[in-house]
Amino acid sequence: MKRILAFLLLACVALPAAAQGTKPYRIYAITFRGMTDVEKGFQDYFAARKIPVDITFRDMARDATRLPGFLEEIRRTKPDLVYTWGTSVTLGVVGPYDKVNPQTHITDIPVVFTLVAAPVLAKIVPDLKSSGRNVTGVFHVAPTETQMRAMASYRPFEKIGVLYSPTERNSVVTLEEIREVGRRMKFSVIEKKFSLDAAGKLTAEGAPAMIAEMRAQGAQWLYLPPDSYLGTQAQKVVIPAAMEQGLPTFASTEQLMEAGALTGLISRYHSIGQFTAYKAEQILRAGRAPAQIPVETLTRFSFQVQLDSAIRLALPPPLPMFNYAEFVAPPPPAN
Amino acid sequence: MDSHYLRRIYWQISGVTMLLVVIALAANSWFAHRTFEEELVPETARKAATVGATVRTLILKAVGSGIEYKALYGVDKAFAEVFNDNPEFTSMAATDDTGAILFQAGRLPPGAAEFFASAEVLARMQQPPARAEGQLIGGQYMVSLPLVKDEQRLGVLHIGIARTFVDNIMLEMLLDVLVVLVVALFFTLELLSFLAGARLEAGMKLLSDTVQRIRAGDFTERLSVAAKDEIGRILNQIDRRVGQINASYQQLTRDLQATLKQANPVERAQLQDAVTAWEALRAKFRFGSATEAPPVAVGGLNSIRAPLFVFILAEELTRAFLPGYINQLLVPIPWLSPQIVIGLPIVLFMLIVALGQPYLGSWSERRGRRRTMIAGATVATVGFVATAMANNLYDLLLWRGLCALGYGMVFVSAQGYILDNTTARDRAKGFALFVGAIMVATVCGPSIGGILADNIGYRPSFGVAAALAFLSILIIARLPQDPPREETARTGMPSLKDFAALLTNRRFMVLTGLAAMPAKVVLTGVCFYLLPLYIVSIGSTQAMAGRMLMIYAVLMVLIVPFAAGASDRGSSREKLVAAGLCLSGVGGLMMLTSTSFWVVIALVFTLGIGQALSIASQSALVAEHCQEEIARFGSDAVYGVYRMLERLGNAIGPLLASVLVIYYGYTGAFMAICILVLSCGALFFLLTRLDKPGVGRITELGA
Repeated sequence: MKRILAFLLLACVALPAAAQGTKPYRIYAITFRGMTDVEKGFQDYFAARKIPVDITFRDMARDATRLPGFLEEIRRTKPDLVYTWGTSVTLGVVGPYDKVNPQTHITDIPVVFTLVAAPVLAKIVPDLKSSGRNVTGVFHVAPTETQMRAMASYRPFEKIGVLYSPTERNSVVTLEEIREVGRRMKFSVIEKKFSLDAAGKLTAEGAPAMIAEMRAQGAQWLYLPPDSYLGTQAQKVVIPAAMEQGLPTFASTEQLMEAGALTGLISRYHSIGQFTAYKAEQILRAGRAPAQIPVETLTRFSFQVQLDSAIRLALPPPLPMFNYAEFVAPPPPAN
Repeated sequence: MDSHYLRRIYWQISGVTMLLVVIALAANSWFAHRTFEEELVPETARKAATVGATVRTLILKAVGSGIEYKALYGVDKAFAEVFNDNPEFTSMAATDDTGAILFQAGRLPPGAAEFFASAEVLARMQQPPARAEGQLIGGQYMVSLPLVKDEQRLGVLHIGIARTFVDNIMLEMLLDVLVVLVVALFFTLELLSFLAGARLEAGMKLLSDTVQRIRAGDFTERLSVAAKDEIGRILNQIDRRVGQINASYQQLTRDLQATLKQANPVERAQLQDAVTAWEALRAKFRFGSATEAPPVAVGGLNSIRAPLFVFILAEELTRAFLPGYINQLLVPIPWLSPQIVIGLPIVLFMLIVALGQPYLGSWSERRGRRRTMIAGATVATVGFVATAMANNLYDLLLWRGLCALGYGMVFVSAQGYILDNTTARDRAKGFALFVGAIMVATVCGPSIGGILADNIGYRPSFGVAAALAFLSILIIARLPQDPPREETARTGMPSLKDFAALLTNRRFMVLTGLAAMPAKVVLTGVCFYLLPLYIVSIGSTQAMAGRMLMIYAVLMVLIVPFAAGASDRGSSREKLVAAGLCLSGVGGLMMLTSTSFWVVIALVFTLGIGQALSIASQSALVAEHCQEEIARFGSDAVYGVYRMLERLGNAIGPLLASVLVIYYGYTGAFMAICILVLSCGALFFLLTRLDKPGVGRITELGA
């Protein structure tokens, strides 16, 4: 007993000292649209575990042309680990698993991705169990069927509308899944695509009209898929248009929820960041190969409701939901 | 002072004691019942108020977050969740501040709307929630909670509990009280029989035998074995007097012989009258020391009852909770369904008892009944202790096997003890005593075992069973020593040839195959397998199934002695057995008319009466029908094979029933088994009529 106590005491004193003594792990992090709660969660995890890390943050700011510079910097500085935020950044850094180019893509440094909605569909990994290469990570979207059931528990429906970017493979595949679930759960899907402008770029123009059309066709919900472009237009265009039509919106990500959706089943970005840091720890401290670490998401999702919108839409949440839903404040006005 | 007089006194004493116990229990039950009744409604109302308070909190939370009370959505969903968790709630409603119903779920009682709108109910919004009280409205106790948010009167929340729910609980409690009453009654009887009955009856029998002997002119001196009680003192005095008479006789003989020796022929002729008188005296009465051993039945037949009861009680105690315990220790066996695995230890037990019978029978005959019983009870005690500490299903199987071995040893030896201590005349009565002890244990065991397991857990309950088995060892040790074996008796196992001979022996097989085995199949198949499952499947409880089994056991205990008495008094045992079997079968046919709960009760009744009629006579018939076989193979061998086949019927019962259920459902299985028993009964009647084996004719046939 005394020896155990002595050991514990020694461990308490020695471990932080040892941690301080070691060189911090160098992490190179690339974000897509600036710092989010994910990065905060990522850093908080290491701080709480007293793991010294030295993180270099680089923001792509939605501009893919910046990526080659970052890749060159990675090759030059040789960090211990690369952190990538979102599908675009991740694909830019590691490439699709069937088209890896060692000249451009990072293969010799472990990469941990985060906030990728559908890593298999995006061809980042062939299977959630293993990437088969120097990559692992965390995805953040609840299974489509779970989301549909959550939506039905707020208000049952027979028809939903979905607005998405035809250029985002992720969204296209999500749509297929929704149709599949619809066949099982007996609901139909009204699909509308964002238009492309003359330059072939996505535009939100005409989106409000499309939402009004959905409403006219009998849509009872507007489902907001984990779509990058939709994410940028949700607060300014899409959600206000839906509110105007009296159409409730259901968010698949925290970003969409923060943009003012009525309700949603989402992963908290902060928790996702912590979970990503846990994966990074497995590689850095436990020395496990990324290919041996499965790609996972959180086991618990938050059911969030924006009561202001609910009252404005005259669609109060069902009474039992007051027991478990998380009520969030409306977003600050969009600038 | 004949034994009937003494028996009457004993029964009068027992009767008075029982009456006092019943009155005390009944009064106790009545007061307990009234207390329950007074407490139950407020208790239920309190629960409704507590659950209602959570719904109220939810409503107030929603209203507090800015949603208008009347615009609330999914209130019925919240109500439905409450119904899910509390099936006793019949209705729920929320009204506005005028009493108009806004939201409702369940079945509101007639008159609810008027009640909700009454001034008295609406006045509740003015006071803080007071003590919850149920108000009876149209067959439901309504509990009403005010919905008030920050001085704003929203309305009232009502929860209704059906009166029938409360009545059902009362009925369940009443039935439980009845069960306890019955168990207490049987325990008292058994205790009385043990404390007074056995010793009193043995003493009376000895006294009565002595008086009878002296009346018949037998003044031989015997080793006194009388106990140190009142009867013992009387016996000692009688013995002293007999000794004095013997001494006088001896003196007379010596005097006569001495006189004759000294006498001359003339005097001898004169003495001829005295010699004649002396010879007449010697012819009429018997003097001197007894050459035969003192009577064995010191404790009497009755003394076997207490140890047997305690021992069987140990095993019966586990009936109610053994499956649950097995389930807890369950190790998945890939190629067997869990239901079958749960049955494994039970089947193993039955098989060991069945297959062990012939071996144990001849073993106990050689080793002595008492010694075998002590050994068996010891083995079972070890088995129970180990069962209580079992690690998993596999070692549990081993320990249950030990219990089965011990059970078989005690069972067979007790049976042999009765066989040894009875004659053909009182054999059925002897077996009725045997069956009676077992049945009383089946009345008391499972219900007490269930209560024990609920309160102290499985393992300590097995500890209690072990303690009972140990107690039985102490009581068995009080039995008289085994008499030396008579060499003439046939001992030993039946050879395979004998076994085959018995199996192909028509008289033996008519009795075994058409009466004994079907009776066991219907017992285990219907009572232990189908009944509990069916009762639960029609929406009743396990407790109800337990009570049904108790009804069955009580019927057995009440009717078996009368049936045995009738059988010993010379009523045709064949007819009793046939009638009993047919009656057992008729119950199942009633399932044709309806599948209600009451038909099941009727089934249990006919089954119980039918089994009770036939069960004592069956064993007695073996001795009667198969004298020739007993002479050839030995009584224990014949009874061993008989019991083994009968016990195989025990194992076949659940097996047959489960297969029948798969193909024909519960009702079909009930009917199929009952039709089987009915036809066996009819066939048994016909065949025994055809070659009615009077005792005289057996010798003819054997010659």
